[in-house]
Amino acid sequence: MARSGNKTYNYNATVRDQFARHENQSGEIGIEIECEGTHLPAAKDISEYWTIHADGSLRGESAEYVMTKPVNRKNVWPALEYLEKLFAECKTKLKESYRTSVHVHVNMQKIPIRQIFNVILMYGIVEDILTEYAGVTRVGNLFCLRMSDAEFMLQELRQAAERDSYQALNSNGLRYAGCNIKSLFDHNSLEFRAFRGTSDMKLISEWIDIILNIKDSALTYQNPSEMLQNFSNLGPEGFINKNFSPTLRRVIESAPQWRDKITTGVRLVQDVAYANDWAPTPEKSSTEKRELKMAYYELNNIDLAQLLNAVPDEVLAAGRARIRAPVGGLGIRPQPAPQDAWPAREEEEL
Amino acid sequence: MYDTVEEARMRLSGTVIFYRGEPRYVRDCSGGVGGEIMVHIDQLPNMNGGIVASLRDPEINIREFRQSVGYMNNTSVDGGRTYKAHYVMRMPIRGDGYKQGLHSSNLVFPRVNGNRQRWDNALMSPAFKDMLLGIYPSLDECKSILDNDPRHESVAFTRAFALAKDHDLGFYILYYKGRRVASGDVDALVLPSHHWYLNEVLQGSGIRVR
Repeated sequence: MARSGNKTYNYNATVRDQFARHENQSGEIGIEIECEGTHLPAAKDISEYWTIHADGSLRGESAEYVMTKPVNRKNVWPALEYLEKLFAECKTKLKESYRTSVHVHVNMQKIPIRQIFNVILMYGIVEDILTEYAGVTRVGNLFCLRMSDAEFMLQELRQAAERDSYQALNSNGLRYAGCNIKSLFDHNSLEFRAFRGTSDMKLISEWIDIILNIKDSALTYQNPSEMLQNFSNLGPEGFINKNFSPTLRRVIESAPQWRDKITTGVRLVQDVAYANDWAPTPEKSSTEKRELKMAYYELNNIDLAQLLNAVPDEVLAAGRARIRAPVGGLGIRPQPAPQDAWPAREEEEL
Repeated sequence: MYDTVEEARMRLSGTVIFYRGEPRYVRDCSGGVGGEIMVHIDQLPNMNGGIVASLRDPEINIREFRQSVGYMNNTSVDGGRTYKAHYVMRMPIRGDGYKQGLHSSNLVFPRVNGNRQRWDNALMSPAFKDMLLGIYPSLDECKSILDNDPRHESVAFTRAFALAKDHDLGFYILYYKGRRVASGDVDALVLPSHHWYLNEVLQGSGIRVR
């Protein structure tokens, strides 16, 4: 937990420290590939990379190939290539189905929460375009709803950021989104669920590159408001040129009215981005903490009258309104802070 | 699309979808000629005028509901006498039987007088249909509704914005997606600095702020 003075900001804690303490993973990417079809490789064929799961949402001959553990970027392609060869050997024929999909988990264990918000919101900005790219059956699909389909997710993110309290995000009500944030609690990862089921490993690899590009770019910003400020400064064109690889830019620019879609995406997520000022709170060194503690004890041992005599009259006059007379010993208490002028930032549901 | 009638029924029965741009309640699904899947749909809000359409009909929309939810001008709170705007949202949840259409299990209805909104009440409410179709009074109409009767709590004029009035102090309150964002006179609402980022959205909706 990061502290500044008496204030603790959870958003500077890492996902693993704040959400759920899962086993440390060095790998970055986990993949799940849901398949329906014929001649699907059976459990005995699976290597060190893959294991096979049954999935109740699939029909007929079906299987879900799940990575045994997260792999580094450089091992994504060998793992996919292994599965591709296996499909070829087994003469697997996959069926086009709206039920099948590819889920990509990105390890977020060591990322501070405020930068997790960067990743979620940057994905949100381009999500409409990316979901169309991910597959026609994925648009509006109840298993991977976009933020623009299901704004409840944005409301929960905004409230979490505003309160700097994130436990409410651990909800099944947020799981079936294109970007599943519940997975931060379940696996310390963000799960991207939008890509259609396919046996074309090159396509899957490209999708993973796109997701990683979004993650890498998002992590170059300290916090979400800085990221959106960057959009305001650069506009849609400048923003994608600065942040995205040529591959991702090509995907975005091939979408009709992509500038409008990105601007709409920014407007969709800006409530979350500006829900907190994300103030920097550098950790104080242990020496600084000790000095503050000493000062506190000294103050308690000083006679208040002596203290007041030492303060110049004009400073005393200015501060008098904020200092109450001591009751039963030393008691310097600031008056309660004035209530925020209308409108309050507290949520009021309508 | 769905392979079997059972699957279509599981995803769609009891939900709201769109047919020819109109919201329809799916009463049931059945098998048609040549293995076609048929949906039995009723009009809202009276659940009458039922028709049967093929799920392959390009006029059937079971996916794109982004422009269908938002503020609902609920007038059923006290028998239709007063307005109160509620912000309705969809959840990314599997919910009750993996519903693809809009359904009580995947919609968040704010509580009305402390009570959960009943799904059948919503379905039969003209306000719900108006929300689905995006029918709202204009900002000026909202203002006069509020001016004329202090019992009206708030009135939405778009999917994202609603107006309320503090009758004691005589100023208006602008709500955006369920929360207060600006206040003052309707012609020049005061947007506090921490909501300044909404400036473009407000201007785009024809709302004047300073």
